[in-house]
Amino acid sequence: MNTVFWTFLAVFHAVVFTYFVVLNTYYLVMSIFAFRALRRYTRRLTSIDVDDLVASAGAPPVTLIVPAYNEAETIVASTRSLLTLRYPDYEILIVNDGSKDDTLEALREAYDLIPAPRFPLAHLATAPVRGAYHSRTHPNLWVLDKENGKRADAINAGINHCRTPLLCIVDADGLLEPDALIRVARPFLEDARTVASGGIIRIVNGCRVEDGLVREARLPRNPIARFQVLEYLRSFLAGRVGWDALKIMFLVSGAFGLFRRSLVVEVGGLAPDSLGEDLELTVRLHRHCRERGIPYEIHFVPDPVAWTEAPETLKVLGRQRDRWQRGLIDTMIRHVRMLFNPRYGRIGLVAYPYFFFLEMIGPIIEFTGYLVFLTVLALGVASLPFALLFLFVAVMLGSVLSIAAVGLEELTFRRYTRTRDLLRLFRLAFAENLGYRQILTYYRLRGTISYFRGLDGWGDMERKGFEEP
Amino acid sequence: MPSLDPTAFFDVSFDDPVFRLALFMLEALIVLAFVFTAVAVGLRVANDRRAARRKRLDALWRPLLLEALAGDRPVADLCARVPRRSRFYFCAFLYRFARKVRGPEREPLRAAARPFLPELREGLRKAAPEARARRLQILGLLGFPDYVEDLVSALDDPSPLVAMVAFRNLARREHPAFAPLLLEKLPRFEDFNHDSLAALLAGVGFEAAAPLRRALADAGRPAWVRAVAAKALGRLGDVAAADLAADVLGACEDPELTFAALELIGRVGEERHRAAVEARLRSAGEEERLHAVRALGALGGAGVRAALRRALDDPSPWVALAAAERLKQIGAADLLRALAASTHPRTALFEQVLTDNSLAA
Repeated sequence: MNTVFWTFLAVFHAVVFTYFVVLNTYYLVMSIFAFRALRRYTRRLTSIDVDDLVASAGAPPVTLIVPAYNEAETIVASTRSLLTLRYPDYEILIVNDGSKDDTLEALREAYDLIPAPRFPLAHLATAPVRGAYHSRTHPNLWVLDKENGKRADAINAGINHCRTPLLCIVDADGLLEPDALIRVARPFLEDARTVASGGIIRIVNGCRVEDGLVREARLPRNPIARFQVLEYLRSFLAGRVGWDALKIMFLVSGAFGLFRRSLVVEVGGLAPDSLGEDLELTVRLHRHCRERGIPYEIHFVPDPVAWTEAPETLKVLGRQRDRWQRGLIDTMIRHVRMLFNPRYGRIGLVAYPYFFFLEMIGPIIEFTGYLVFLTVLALGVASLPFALLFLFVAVMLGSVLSIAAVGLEELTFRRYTRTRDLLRLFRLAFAENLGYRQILTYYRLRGTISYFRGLDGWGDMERKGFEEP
Repeated sequence: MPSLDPTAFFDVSFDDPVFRLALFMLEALIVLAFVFTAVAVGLRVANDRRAARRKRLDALWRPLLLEALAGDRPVADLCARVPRRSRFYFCAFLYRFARKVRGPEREPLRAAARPFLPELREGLRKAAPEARARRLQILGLLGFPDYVEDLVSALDDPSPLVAMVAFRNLARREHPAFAPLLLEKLPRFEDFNHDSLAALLAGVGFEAAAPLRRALADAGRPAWVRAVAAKALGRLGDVAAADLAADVLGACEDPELTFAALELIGRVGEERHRAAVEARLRSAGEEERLHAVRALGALGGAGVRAALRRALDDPSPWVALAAAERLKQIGAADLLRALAASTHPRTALFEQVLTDNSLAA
């Protein structure tokens, strides 16, 4: 027994150490690529008025599909934000997914909706559509009313009724920057092979919002939301920009993503039985195109911003991360044949293994690693100075990555203009490694257990609304 | 204890190479963190400086340009104030003004840009797609027709944005000769708004009608291209295209082309085209029947009344509503009133149409 225990510890140390080195090397490499890409990007951005260029040259028509379920609190403000977008040719299609609250009534009252004919161009299977409404005050605003069928089902209904070559999926609890659509459409304008592109999601908690627009970006007062600001910055500015530079964009966020309609219809729309339908759709697009030899590109654009509300309690955060983890595992298992499969190019050889080993299995290794670490310390078998140094290096490495993300933020958008917010972000870069990261690891582990126990709850998000003092 | 002793992993002293390596990593990380931040801030400062320099140049050029436009100062004075590295920016500055003026008022701007346009053209080969697009916009507005060859070759640019800029610049009323070329290149613009493409083609003028008719009649072209041609002919009011549209309706299954042909007949058709439209009222597609009803209403004439009356019994309430609206618009309100007073299952719908004041007869 003693031998087995020590062997387990030794092997596990090797696994944890390898995981630690590989994960952080990956993050560092991504940060460096992201840094280069963003530097180039900002240079281009400052040399030309891209928004004016696209507005005057014209751009493909886009339908914004906004699935809404019990969003009465925020739907009018988020629709107002969508109506202020600067884009030459777009319409908004809100899909009321059988809300039990006054979502439809709120929209009807605010935008003078009347019943109107809107015929489907595609026929993805969805829950029945009850009717379509057209705004008399805003000709580019439509509302589709349907029976409840969850988010993917609502989006699929929107896809069926979308009549433009491009569709943009936007969360009803989000706010888009006025130029967001122009900017996220840029890859489609630069390269006809583009089939999808995504933009950055930022946390709206704490920001000053007026008339559906974020007037001033501020850090939230709530510490849990504040940590998520840093987490999102790192994930988008370091992670996805790096993926884009390496051409391994594996996830176009469902909160704000632009897709080629014909291809989304061709692959069968979003998977209604998936909990991570945005990741699943992106992976399916990759797989579909690679298997059929269709030339394609999937991109991430770092500056079209969609603002979203972040959970402010551990309970809601836990539910969210639990669901994300279950969605990740579900997608990984559905498409496991892509793992290390050269047929799928760098998606199968780089991106998929990263998600499989570091994101899917990572929480198990990391959480067990904490337990083992505490055990060897408690048993007094570890060299304390070395253990502390290892811990310190781990914290520093995590902090460097976050500081890099804050640096990238400073380089690109500089949204947080208040110096105290910037300093807070730097402080958070250290603090998040001492508790927050471990809590997230726990939630992800819990999600893994939930998945294998067959739990499939969605986990409702509690909304506060955007405009508050 | 086995040979895989984990304590060996931890049991290291300060002099141990592993410990030193860990310390080195720590130092490197701290340096890296500072370097990341410093470079980011430095780049930000550089970008801010560039923006400030441009602001200064704008302030310098603007009054000189206004004087040149008023004829109080030679354009050469303005050109002399353009630093070498700001030539592209200067052309973009002129372009902003040029978009707001037309005809002879644009001449001083063209003259001011002329010395710098060859350099701008050079950049077309190596610049990023957006920079190429902006350069083409400037060349198209301030250098036309000297740079027309660049615009023509840009129709084949890999970037849809660049190609669209070229398309817009070549779709000009004063140069209808480009219409066949534009129609030939149209298939690569499928993602763009088809109504806007039709408007651009119609903007070329009536000289474009012949190639548009040929495109509409050509079954070898993509259906959506033929639909754009039909829409453009409708905008031009080309009566000769109605026969073609009726032929299309006799043989076409594509929804977009069918709707465009129906709309074209609605705009320019005559009584003899009514049968082709009425045939579409028997279509299984609800949307197609709706378009047919609208086309019939636009076609007008005594003959459409009976067809519209039949459409009031269509299974689709939207088709029936459109038929009722068209009946009212062609002056058949008496028929609607009679039906509203009858036992017809859609009396409420007829009353709604009759009371809708926006539907004037």
